[in-house]
Formats: sequence, structure tokens, C-alpha cells
Amino acid sequence: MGWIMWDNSFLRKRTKEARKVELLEKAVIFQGLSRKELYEVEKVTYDRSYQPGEYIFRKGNPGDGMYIIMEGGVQIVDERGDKGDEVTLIALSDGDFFGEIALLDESARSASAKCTKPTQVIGFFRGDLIDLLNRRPIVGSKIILSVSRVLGERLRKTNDRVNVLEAKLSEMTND
Amino acid sequence: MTNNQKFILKLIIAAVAVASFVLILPRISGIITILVLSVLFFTILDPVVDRFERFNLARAHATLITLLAIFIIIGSGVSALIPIFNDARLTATEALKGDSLEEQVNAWVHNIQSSLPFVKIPENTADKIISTSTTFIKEDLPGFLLSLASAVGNILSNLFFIIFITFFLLKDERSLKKSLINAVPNRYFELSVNLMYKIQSQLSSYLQGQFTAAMSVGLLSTVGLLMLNLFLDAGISYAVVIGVWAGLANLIPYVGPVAGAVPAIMIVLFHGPANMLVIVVAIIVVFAVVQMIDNIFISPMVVGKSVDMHPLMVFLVLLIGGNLMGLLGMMFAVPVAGIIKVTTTLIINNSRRYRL
Repeated sequence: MGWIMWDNSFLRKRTKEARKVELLEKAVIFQGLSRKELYEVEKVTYDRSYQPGEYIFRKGNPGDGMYIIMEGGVQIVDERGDKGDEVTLIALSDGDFFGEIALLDESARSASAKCTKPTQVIGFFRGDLIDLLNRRPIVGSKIILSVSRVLGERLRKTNDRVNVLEAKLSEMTND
Repeated sequence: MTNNQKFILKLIIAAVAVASFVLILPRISGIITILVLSVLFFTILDPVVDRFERFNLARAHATLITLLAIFIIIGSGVSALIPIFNDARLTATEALKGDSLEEQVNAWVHNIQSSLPFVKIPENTADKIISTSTTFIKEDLPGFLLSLASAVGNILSNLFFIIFITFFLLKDERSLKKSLINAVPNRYFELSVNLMYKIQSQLSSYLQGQFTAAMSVGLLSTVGLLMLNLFLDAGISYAVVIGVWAGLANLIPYVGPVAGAVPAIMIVLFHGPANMLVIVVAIIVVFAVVQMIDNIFISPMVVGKSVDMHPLMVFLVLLIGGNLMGLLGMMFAVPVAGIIKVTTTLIINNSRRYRL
């Protein structure tokens, strides 16, 4: 009986690991990692469960890492004013990820992450990325490269928007 | 339940917890010591295991290789010391041959008196030394040997537990960390992950710094004593052993440097060379210079200022360590106090940053 119970919990663990690896594979920053390398990353991630209305992190707190939604829904909200009125910036669901900039620096979170339904997330933190870089430099470097690519892409988009806005501004001043 | 009642309940729970801790502490102080030492060794060895993992080794294999390497290093050190101790035993036996113990001690006292005339040795010192030694050999030696054997057995069994716990801490570091973090409520989750990482990295660099400083002091002391042998013909045998001792003793602030110089001076006094005074002064200068190099260059570079403690606090910590575990307690008292200080400071600072 005990053997069957142990066997079941072992299988459950393996299935959960495999599911987490599948989700990690879909996240842009883990693309380019082999299956074996993804299992290496899975070992240093944390599973957390949140209730609707619960915050994963709050605006202004130090950024420590990123999250991937396994199941549920998360709103990225900006808390404004003294009363803390919330403006939803984006709604995220299964497989989406957020907070990846915190993998590179510890500056304060620019917005809060609030759960809209029972949510399960995978957390991956800067300390563990540094640990990976020490132990498995190739895996760590691949992740850093992907994060840099994501940030580069965002910077390009921001530059494009700034250019458009500058053009509009100069048009307005000319008029 | 009103707020006042809640406060009183919390106060009662805290009082009961403190009282039970104080009551249980004496019974579990041995276990706590083993755990603390295991964590200390884990923190020092963790980066080494990480290095081995770079060669695509599984964590368990990397841990085994690290511990095996440590065993080989310690084993080689011990096997190198055995001939030295054997040599010392033979020299002592040889020295005691021929003349009686009384003549030997008298000659020794006379030698010190003539080389260091400013040292006033009372007239009956030789008789006192002889009677104390005879009483010790006749009455106390069997008991002393028994307690020594029991102490060695105790140390060996504790060492086994420490190695066993350190092995599993190193091998299962990540799963243990995960289990700990899983128990933390969501509100404190990010704070705990951040804190755990920072504590580990600060402690690791602090302990490695202490280790490097101790090694440097040991090496410098050995080189200094060997140079005295070379240039002053000081005849300080076992310079390497004294150097290792000086390095280890250096873990005890203020007391360490003195403890390092004492065996070297004792050996010189025992041998009684013609230029004894010059050699004794030279030994003191060597250890003073080593301490200066350590205080000005080595320690600030490798240990850092993060765990600076007031001298009074250091003495208090040394007293507690010595009271709990004797010499070993004194050696590890400051590093353990360093761990507590670093952890507390990080908890307070992080709680502020997370606005808790």
C-alpha cells in the first residue's frame, strides 16, 4: 500500500515537473534551452498559489524576479494617487510571463501584479539566475541573452514611438 | 477577541516559547553546536561544489568529490604531522635520558635565568615544577588519559554527524531551500527569497574571507619562523605546525596573535640557545609584523568591514563561545556572531525596503 502511495506521489511530481518544463519552454526567455537545460532551470523555480484579489508583488517593492502563469489570471495594475486607484495596464492568462526585467536589476517594480482568479505561478529569481550562471554558465548565458533580446526589442519599439511622438510634436509646433 | 486580549495572548505565547527555549537549551546545546558547525562548513564548501558542477557533474557527485578532496587534504596534513610528533617524542625522550629530571629542570631554569636576566624566577621554581610533574604522572595521568580518550571519541562522533549533515545540506541545498520558502506566506515570499540569497552570498564571502585570512597568517608565520631559523639559527622546530596553529588561532581576535607566538617562544626557552633574548624578541617582531600585514592588508581585503564588531562585543562573544565549547567555541564564536549580525542586519534592512 505504502509503495503504491509513494509511487503515485512520485508520478504526480514527475508529471508536474514535465508540465512546468513545457510552460518554461513557451516563455520567450527560455527559448533556445534544451529539454535537459530546462529541467535544470525547473529545479530552481518556485511554485506559488494566489487567491483572487491577492497581489503577487506591489508597485515600489524591490524587483527580484519574474513569474510565469501556470493557471489563472493576473492583471498588471498601476496604483495611482493617495487613494491607490488602480488602472489596469494589461491582463495576462495561462502561459504569459511578467516581471522579467527584475532578473537584471533590483530597481523598484513599476506596477503591481494582482490576481483576478485562483492563480498558480512559477517564480524565477535573480539570485537563482546568478547561481545558474555560476554552476551552469552556458544555461545562464542563454537566459541572459534572451532577456537582453526581449529588452532590446522593447527599447526599439519605445524608440519608434518616441520618434513618432517627436515628429508629431514638431508638426504641431510648425503649425 | 479584542486587540488587548490578542496582545496578551501573543505575550503569553512568546513568554512560554522563551521559557521552554531556555529550559531546553542546556539539553540541546550539543545538537545546536553540531548544526551550527554543519551550516558553517556548508557555507564555506557550497561555492566549491558549485565549481565542480560546472564540469557537468550531478550535484551529488560534485558534493562527494568535494568532501573526498577535503578528506585527502586533511589526511595528508595529519599524516605529515605524525612523523613530526613522533620526532618530538623521540627528542623529548632523548633529552630526558642520562641526567635526572631534577638536573634537567635545574639546568633549564638556570639557562633561562642567565639568558634573560630581567626575568625573575623564584628560587624554588625547579622544585615546584618537579613535584607538580611527579604528582601529575603518579596520580592524575591515568585519569587524564581516560578523559582524553573520551574527548577524542566525542570529537570523532561529533565530526561524523557534522560531515553527515554537511553532505546532505550540500547535496539537497536547492530542495531544502524550496521546502523552506514554500512554508512562507505569499506576503513575505519575495522578501524571503531575496533575504535567503543575500544572507547566503554575504556569509559565503565572509567565511571564505576568514578562511583566506587564517591561511595567509599561517603561511606568513611559517615563513617568518623559517627565516629566523635561517638567519638567526633560532632552532625553532615544527615551524609549519606553529604556523598552522597561528592561522587557526587568528580566528580568535586579540587572543589569537598571542596564542600563535607562545609555542614558538616556549620552544626557544626549552632549547635555550646562546642568543635566546634576541630570538625571543625576533619571534615577537615576526608575529607583530604578521598581525600588522593581516590588519592592514589581508583582513580588510578578504573579510571586509561588514561584520565589524565593538571590541567589548568581541570579548563577550568569546566568553560565551569559550563557556559553551571551550577552545573550539572561542575559535568559532566570532564567525558565528558574524553570521548572526549579517542575518539580523539584512532582515531589518530588507523589511524596511519591502515596507513591512
